Amino acid sequence: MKEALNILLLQQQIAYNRDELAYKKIFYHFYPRLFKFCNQLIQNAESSEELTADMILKLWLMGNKLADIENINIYLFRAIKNSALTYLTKNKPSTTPITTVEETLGGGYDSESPTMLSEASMLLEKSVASLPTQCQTVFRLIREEGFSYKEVTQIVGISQNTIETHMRIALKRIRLSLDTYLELKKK
Amino acid sequence: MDKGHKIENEIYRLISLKLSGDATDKDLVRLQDLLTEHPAYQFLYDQLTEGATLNHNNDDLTAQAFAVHYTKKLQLDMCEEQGTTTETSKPKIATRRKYVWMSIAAAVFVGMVLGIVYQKTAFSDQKFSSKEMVTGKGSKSKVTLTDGTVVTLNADTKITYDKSFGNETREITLVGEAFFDVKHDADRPFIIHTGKADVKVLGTAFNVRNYPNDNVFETSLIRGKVEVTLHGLADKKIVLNPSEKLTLLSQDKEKVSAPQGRTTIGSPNLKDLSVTIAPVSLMDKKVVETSWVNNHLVFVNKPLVEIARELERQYNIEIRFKNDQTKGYRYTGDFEKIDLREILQILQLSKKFNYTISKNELIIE
Repeated sequence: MKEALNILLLQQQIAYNRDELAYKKIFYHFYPRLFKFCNQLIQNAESSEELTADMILKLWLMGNKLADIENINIYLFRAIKNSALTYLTKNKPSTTPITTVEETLGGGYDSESPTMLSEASMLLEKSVASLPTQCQTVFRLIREEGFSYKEVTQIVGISQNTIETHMRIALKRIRLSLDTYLELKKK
Repeated sequence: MDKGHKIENEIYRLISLKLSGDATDKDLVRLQDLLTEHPAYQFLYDQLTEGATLNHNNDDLTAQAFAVHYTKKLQLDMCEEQGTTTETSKPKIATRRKYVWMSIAAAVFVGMVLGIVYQKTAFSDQKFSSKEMVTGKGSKSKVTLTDGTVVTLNADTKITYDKSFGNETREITLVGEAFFDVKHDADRPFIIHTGKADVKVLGTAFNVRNYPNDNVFETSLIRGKVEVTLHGLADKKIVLNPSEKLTLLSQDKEKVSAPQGRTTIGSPNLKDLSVTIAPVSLMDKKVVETSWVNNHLVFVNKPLVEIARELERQYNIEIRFKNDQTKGYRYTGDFEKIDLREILQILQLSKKFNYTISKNELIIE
């Protein structure tokens, strides 16, 4: 709550005072999360960097209008989700990229810690990455970014029922791959 | 729907609610009960709730991304502000003794600390026969001389020439930096006099840099041929080929970067001078030495103290250093028509220094 208040204050400072420092704080606050989220969806670190930075830069260019955004967190995630989806439709991979778990984890912010992640969580990440885009988006927003159902309806623009369906599908598929893993372990 | 399937879905629903933070206390109790009853789901639950929001902060990558996008931001800011700020790029016409030289667009005369006293005396002797063109700090100008030669003056620069210019000879005196595109005329050589050397040219395009407080005389040839005569070394004429740069360095000041060159003429008479001839520097396929003509400010591995001198001229500001360490910081960059503060901000990104800026003074700490 305190954080949310601070962000609102920064937003005002950028909107009305063109405060560079406030802008930098906003950038540092949102960039890592947005970048990670974007990169997980499009699997291209370079493009993700650009999309994310451009997204935040738009806030600066908005001028006074920036102060009108009620929830910048939701606003940014909705925007980056849209950018990522546009990117995916424009750059349809001719072949499905073969990404190993290591690569998935290695892209971007996790690069220094793959060894710290257990086999199971690597497997988890792999099965999440293989989910359909929309399903994956919903799952990540809820599990990794901690958004509520209501917030996700605003970010993704789907009903609460559809979110439940996506989550059910996601959890079912994750459970299947985890079960397979457990059985292999037993042998 | 069979019972097992129903329970499976309920467990998924409750885990999802737990992850999103939407679960009520009742939901959580129910989930706990179900998990105890159906341990097959426990592993899934543990995996999903464990380390769900890993801390992915990586300040280095963020800082890098910030720096990369900052250039773009500055460019956009420039576009935004263009409506409100006016550039000082338009030269004004200055005439002396009410001469109107229609072919000449001269820059505004700004009384500068350096040169003005010297100039005054020079003109009291020959004020009826001599013409001068001066650009102040922070302005540039392009002039066409009566013979068709185009001279681009950098900031804080003065050229003077005789009223009889072009009659038999073409001779001018330069203090500062100018780019010459000389009209070819084999019968009337074009000669540029500077405090340290004279440059004699036929049709050619070249740059001469001779700021009095820089200790460096530099001439870079773009095309054609020039002949340089160093004062005090009249017997040694140096001919430059295209894309070469001659640098004459006074050694009395330290910290002036000496470029590596093909020739060094040792001079027992002038042991405080060194001469080098080197290829002109290229950055992104453009010639660094003449980039200022196109309103670029290019530094290649230059110490901050030298950059500061250039900024003083380009932005008409006094720059002081609070300590010597900062003076030695080296930077490389290509700036086009931007605000001084923005240049400083960009320089800071690659190597941090602090500064305070007032109306006409910049203090670097």
